[in-house]
Amino acid sequence: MDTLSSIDDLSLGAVALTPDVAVGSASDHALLEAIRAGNEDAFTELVARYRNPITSYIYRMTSDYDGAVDLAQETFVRVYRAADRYQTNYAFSTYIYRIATNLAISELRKRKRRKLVSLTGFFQSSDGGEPREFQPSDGQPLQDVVLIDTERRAAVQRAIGTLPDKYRAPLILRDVEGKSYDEISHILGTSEGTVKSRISRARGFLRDKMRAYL
Amino acid sequence: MITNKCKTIRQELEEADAGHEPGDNLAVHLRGCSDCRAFASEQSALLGLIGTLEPVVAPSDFDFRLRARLARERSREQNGAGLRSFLRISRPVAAAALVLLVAVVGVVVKNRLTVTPSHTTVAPAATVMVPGATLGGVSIATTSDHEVGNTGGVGTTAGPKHTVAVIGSRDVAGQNNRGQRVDPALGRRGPGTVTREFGLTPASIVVSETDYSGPVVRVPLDPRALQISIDDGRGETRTISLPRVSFGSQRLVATQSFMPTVSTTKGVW
Repeated sequence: MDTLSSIDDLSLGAVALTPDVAVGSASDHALLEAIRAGNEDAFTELVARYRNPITSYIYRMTSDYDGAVDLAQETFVRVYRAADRYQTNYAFSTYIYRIATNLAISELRKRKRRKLVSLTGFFQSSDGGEPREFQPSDGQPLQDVVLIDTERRAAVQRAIGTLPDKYRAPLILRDVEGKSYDEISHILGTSEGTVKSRISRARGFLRDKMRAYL
Repeated sequence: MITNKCKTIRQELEEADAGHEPGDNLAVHLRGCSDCRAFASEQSALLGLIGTLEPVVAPSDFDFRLRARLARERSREQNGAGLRSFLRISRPVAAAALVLLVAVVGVVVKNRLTVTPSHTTVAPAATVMVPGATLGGVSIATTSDHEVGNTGGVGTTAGPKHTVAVIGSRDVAGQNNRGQRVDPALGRRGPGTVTREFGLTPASIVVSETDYSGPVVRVPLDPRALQISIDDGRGETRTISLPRVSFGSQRLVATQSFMPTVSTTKGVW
């Protein structure tokens, strides 16, 4: 009968990594276990798995690419520093998305305090409603389909950016990242009913703002 | 009109995954309810619109920058550890220095505040020929450094000699000891003018060295002397009568005569 080296050997079928085992096939929990043991390759693999989803998620939350990259790196730094304290109660993706959400919301609140003047703010309506689209002065209709799609995506991003924080995060997690309600409730630390309610409200806001595109 | 059935259907549409095929119940309702059909259409279009958002890709140097950031964090932590170890070593030394400093300050303050016995000069052993004042008490608190002489006042009988020692009193005419403060304003008036700050040092205590066993002579008080005439400056004189009050002693003045503590103020103000 095999002896267990730690309690984590029992959790979620995690496989303890040895230097010989390829990190690419290991689970997230096994990678975390390896990171605790000082395996740098495991951390590299973990970063490779989540750098794009986390950067994308934070970008959807903040609408600022450079800031999103910076916050994504901060997310991984926190994962690395807290690897010893990580508990395998939930999926690792829930854990890392929770860190990213907290950082993004914190950044949004900082921006509100600073009252940053963004370039796109010049084109927003004075009543704080939907941002007006910048139209070139020639008034020529856009013929290129690619340009139309690009503009539509930008309008969607702007509309999402106008949502309140508590509606924005669950909507992005659900409709952009494709997370389940259960996972979103764990990421946001709220009940599943609250998550459903907030997503419904967020879609209602978006429907009103994007009615011209629907 | 939105019915409860519509609400249930719309909630089901909200919670359905994108691309989810509606069930039979849902499909039947949508065929018969134009509002819900429009809602479902908008919902589908909205999700399709959100779905057009392309995923954002991290920059190619993401790993490199992350490594640099982690290295910077480690370096900062090591510097912090060095500072902590320095504080750990120097903490006992700092504590000892603090204790020493407190002790030195304490000694200095104590030396400033304490009156050493060698500086205490006993006032001239006053030989008090008590003129009938009630001197049955053993201790007399005094703030006067006048030499008390033999009074021999009217109606008094010379009592036994009392040797009175003044404890804590200082020679007023002599050097200015600690606790005494020469008022600069007064000091300008004359070299011998000295004020004493009793907020810093207690009043002198006169202790009788021998028990007084002689007769007690009571001094008669002149009731007329307890009347004060005051000129109010407009030609009118007002007379104030004071009730007799005895605190057990009378003022002794250097004229060797006993006088009650009454003086006329007429013409003085």
